[in-house]
Amino acid sequence: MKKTTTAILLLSLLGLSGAACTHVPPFQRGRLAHPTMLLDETAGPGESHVYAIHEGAVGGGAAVEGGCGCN
Amino acid sequence: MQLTSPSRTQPKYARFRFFLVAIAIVAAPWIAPSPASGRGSAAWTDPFADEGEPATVVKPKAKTKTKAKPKAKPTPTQEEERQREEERQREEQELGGREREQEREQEEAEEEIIRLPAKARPRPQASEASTRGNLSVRASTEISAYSDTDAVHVLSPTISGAVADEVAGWSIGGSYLVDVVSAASVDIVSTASSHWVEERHVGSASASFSAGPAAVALAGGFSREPDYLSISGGGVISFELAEKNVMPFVGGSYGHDLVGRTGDPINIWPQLNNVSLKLGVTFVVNRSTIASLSFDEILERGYLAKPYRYLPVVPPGGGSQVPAGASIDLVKSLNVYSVAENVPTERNRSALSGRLAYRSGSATFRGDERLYHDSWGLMASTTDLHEYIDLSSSVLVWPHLRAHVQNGVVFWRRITEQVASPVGPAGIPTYRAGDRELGPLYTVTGGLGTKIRLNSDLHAPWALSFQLDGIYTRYLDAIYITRRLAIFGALGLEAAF
Repeated sequence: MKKTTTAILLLSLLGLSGAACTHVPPFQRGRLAHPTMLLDETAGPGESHVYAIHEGAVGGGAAVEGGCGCN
Repeated sequence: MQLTSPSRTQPKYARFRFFLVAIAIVAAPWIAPSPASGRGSAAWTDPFADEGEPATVVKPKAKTKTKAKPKAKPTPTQEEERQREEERQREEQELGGREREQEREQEEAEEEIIRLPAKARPRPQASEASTRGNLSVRASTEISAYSDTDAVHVLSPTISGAVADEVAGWSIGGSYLVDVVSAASVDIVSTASSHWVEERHVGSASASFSAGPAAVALAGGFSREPDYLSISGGGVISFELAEKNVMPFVGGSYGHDLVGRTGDPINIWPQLNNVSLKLGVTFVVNRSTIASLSFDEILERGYLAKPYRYLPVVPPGGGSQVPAGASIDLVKSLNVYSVAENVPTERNRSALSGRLAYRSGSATFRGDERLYHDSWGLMASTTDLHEYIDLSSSVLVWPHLRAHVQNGVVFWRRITEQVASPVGPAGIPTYRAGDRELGPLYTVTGGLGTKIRLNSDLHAPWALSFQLDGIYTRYLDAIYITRRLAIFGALGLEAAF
């Protein structure tokens, strides 16, 4: 529980520091609007499943995860 | 009887009109369009520049040389006209007629850019936009294949589709995937089991909508195979703050799984429930960089072992005779009996993740990092890097590199060894795992991908994608195998209508 609280506090701190970054108005976001600048999942469904089987860690991706399919 | 005669009021208004004209003449240079006015910066970026090209920066002209031209000039008096003419003659004498002409042409060209930015890019005509409507329909299909040196082969066709109205701010989508797995791995061979082929069906649906600065995304799905059933659902709500420069998000999901053995009635399959919470923020760092930080907490409760997995047990002290990568024959020679895998029924998993995308020229660097820890003592780091390069307006390529390293869970043993007891028969550890992914290992993935746009319609693009990755895994403390090589490939087609 202490670890979780620490992580949340750290995240909040980093989030607030993010708010201190350069304010970029909408008309200066030509580069940010490029399709490759989306911070979505880079791996497709098949690739994501391969990583889920090969690695013992989870998280950091989509909020919803399906079954394992590896047994 | 009139209280005010017209002869007295007309001269009064005439003086007032003259006063307004004088103010207009004096204020005209400040009212006329200027590149720096109202933008709060010394330079501004042309918002209509093409994505693939560097943004056009229009620098403000020096005030001393600026000659703003008011669009609607008031009628100048003869005295003012004469003064302007004298001033123009003096400037022409200073600069020279030809230089002045060039400067004037440049000023006119710059003002044209400022006043009429829409000229830089042709816009769809109203009739064209209305026929398309606001709805966009996208469909995609992917077929991926996996094969490794442990005799596991997987073929996965996927179809997905989505309908969205970007103006109204909503979308719905769905996907369906089938895994066909053929396995004859060393774990199967070592237990004298036969090679098996199995199918897994995965379906998912999603919906999202926006309400002011908030956006809600909902998703649900199922996964079904002969010995496993999983259903899950969740959502994420995000907020757009500071003109979309800061976007915090929070979400959660719930999953209910049934883990069984093929042939057993489903009502006796053990359960596994999981709840995940997600908290994070995405923020714009500068004009070329965007980043995201998130924290995930996943709580798993229930049956977490693999029902088919049986572990060989060796006598007390026999573990030292079994090195990493020991052969099946060596393990069999020491094996006393086999026992089912048993792991704790609770697992709390935490991940702190960061994502960053940076665009420079015609390339985008994308880096992801995940730091992981769980209540079983497993710690891991996963780094994923992509470099997306626009070879042309219709061809995108990307090299890919991924590295994952982890230690083992606290109850990890290379082989289960009996524990001698002074008062009775030798026992075995309560918790024992045979899943190599719970032991220490590292994995390196490298590959290349490409996406090719098949048509020139930006509103309804069709694209073909191909990806090929090689995966090397090194098991640092496991029996039977110490390394595994795998290859993964995916071929996809995306279409928009």
